[in-house]
Amino acid sequence: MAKTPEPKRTISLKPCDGDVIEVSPMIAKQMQTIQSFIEDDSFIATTTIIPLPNVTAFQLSKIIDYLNYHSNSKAVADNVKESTKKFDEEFLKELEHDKLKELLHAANYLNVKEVLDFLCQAVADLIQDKSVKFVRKFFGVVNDYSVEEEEDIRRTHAWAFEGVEED
Amino acid sequence: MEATRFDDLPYDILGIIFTKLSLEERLIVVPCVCKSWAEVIIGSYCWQEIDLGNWSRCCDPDKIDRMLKMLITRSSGSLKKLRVFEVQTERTFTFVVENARSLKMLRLIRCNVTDNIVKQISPKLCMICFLDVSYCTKISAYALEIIGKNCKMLEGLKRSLHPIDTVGKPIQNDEAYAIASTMPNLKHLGLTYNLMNTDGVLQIYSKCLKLEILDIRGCWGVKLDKVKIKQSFPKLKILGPAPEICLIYLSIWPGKL
Repeated sequence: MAKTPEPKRTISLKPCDGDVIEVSPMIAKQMQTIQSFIEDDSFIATTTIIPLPNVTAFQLSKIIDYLNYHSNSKAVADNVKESTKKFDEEFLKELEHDKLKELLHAANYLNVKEVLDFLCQAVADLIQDKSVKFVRKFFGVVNDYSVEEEEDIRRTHAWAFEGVEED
Repeated sequence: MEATRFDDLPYDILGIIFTKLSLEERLIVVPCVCKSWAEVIIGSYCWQEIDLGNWSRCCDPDKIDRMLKMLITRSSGSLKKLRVFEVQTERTFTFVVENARSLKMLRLIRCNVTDNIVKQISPKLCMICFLDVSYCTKISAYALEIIGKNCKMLEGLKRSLHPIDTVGKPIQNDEAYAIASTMPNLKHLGLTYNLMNTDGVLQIYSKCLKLEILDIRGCWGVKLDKVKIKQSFPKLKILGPAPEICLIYLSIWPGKL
């Protein structure tokens, strides 16, 4: 541990369904799951292939795309902000709901905070201002309340929004 | 309707999603979905950031007090960011600071804070990095000085005023001097429609050497040679005194939090 490891080039990640993808250590570091692996043994990390049985090639390359774009545009100029927004919109446009969900799982597995945060915001945007029924259906959640129980819950904080618009 | 089911998402991810919803969604819709969601949403994790923004803007002050009390209790000491308008009661300010020791960003907008309240609460705000006291017309340079002396980690201060509050009033540099002498670590400073003149601004940027963004839109007493400033302080971006829009600035003090 006392010696500093040799300068590393790339980290090889092997998704469950495709070829090895090489990423720079800078990108790999943002994936906490990989990062802990590199920390444990940086020599092995650069010489062996890290298998990712829970992540598909599609998911991995999406996450890498996102990280690559965002780490290159950390600058603060206004026009960069604009193009980042465009990139984010395009990124989501290509994702259907099931892909979005799978990507959330992958980002969670790899523990990439930046991507996780971005995807959670995307899901939140999809359910914002929707009814309880819609949200249940969207998430595939089964209602386990009785009618009375649900009404009670609804009433608990109703005071805060009375006069705004009920129901 | 989607066939996709999201019901196998881990609770910590659900928690992150919930924190991004509006207040009404978080308090009414989420707990109504099912029992396990109701349990997740009362977890302190979901209330590290509280934004009463739009809700508090035109709400009865008693309700704001009640809401703050309820949510800050839920956060059980983990509150990091708070944004609220129109808080009127002194004991609510005290309640907030006493129960939110990890607060990093506090935005009290159009609130009834006075110099005296600031004096009481600022020793407990020593962890704060971003403070917004815009449109709080009852505080003076004295309050800013107390804040500067107590909040040594302060990186961002916003004290916007409304033109109506300052129209016809004489030039005053006391707020600018208070900032310059007590807040050396500021990176972002917003002082729209402040009554200072050029001398006040000079004091600020000669003392706050880490300053990156200075918003002095509407400070009509200020005349600056921006080219010269650019040469001596290449990192500093000054907005104003004339109106102009800066997206970076907006992202530092975003609408939601």
